[in-house]
Amino acid sequence: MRVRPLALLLLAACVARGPAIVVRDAYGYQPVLGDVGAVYFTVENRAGTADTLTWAEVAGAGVAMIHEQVADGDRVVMRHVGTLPLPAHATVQLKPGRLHVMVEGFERSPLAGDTLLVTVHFARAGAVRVRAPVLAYGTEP
Amino acid sequence: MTAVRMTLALTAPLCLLAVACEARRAPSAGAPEAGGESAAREYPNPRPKPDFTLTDTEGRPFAFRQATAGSVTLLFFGYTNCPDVCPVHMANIASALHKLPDAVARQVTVVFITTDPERDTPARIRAWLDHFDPRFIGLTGSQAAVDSAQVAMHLPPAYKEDLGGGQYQVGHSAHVIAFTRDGLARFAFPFGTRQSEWAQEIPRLVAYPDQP
Repeated sequence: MRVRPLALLLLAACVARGPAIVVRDAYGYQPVLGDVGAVYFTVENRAGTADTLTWAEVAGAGVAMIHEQVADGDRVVMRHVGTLPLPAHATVQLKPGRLHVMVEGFERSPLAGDTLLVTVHFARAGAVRVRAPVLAYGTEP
Repeated sequence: MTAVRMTLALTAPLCLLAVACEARRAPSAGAPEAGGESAAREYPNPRPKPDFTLTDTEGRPFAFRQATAGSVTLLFFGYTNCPDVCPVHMANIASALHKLPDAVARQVTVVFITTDPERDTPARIRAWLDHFDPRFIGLTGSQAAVDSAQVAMHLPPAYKEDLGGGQYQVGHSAHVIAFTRDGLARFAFPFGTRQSEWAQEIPRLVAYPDQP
């Protein structure tokens, strides 16, 4: 079969483009008392159009809610974040003290060394799955 | 006296106005690490250690000023259902203390006061603190007593944020207040203070005022 050079170029361009949304550097913390934990990751929107992170789920956990630590004077309070806007070419990092996925209702409480399967849902890009190693609090990733 | 005593006072809110007016202190040594806000803030007018009594995790009265007299005291108000700020702070302090010489670490008392006495039973606080360091001290009391302890530290009391379904979370101060051995609150360490910074700052607190 003969493949025209132009077709090859187009194919290469598509492959090089890769996914519009990349979820990377995921990790979670082992729940101290087995009931409440947190998951963090970085979302990169490589597309030229905006997207929205709509929700996240963690396999084996009944509840996963995106929370933001909001400054209230010198206090902080967690607020539930319904959706997380992702402007074109933006990178959003979930990290301690800012944004996290609060995870509860574990079928089996994860331990340091385990891996959590996290699915992050986006309005345009759909579901993106990522593995999050579980760390002990005090382990700085 | 116990080596490192962490008084677990789950005090939620941090002092807003007080700390807002504080001067910012440059990191003690080396280049600041990535991670944002991290340098200790020095109170321009150091405050005396407040005189309140709460209950420790063994059910005994704990007179804060008297029981921590003469030790460097790190005081944090938080709650055990907190998955982010509270355990990260406690773990970072514990990790730093574990790496320091015992002669330094045993001069530090860590006190955690719950801001959520409704859910944080003494047993739960104890189990939570033991995860970090069994020497950490945990305190609780009535909601009014815990609120008063925060007010005594010039902090607005913690407050509940309703999540629906009977669930709630607690808005609280994210700072750790550091008292030097003379009983004065001299520094506030914000969230984001890393283990390496604690490892630098704790010996300075122990040596204060020789190494201000």
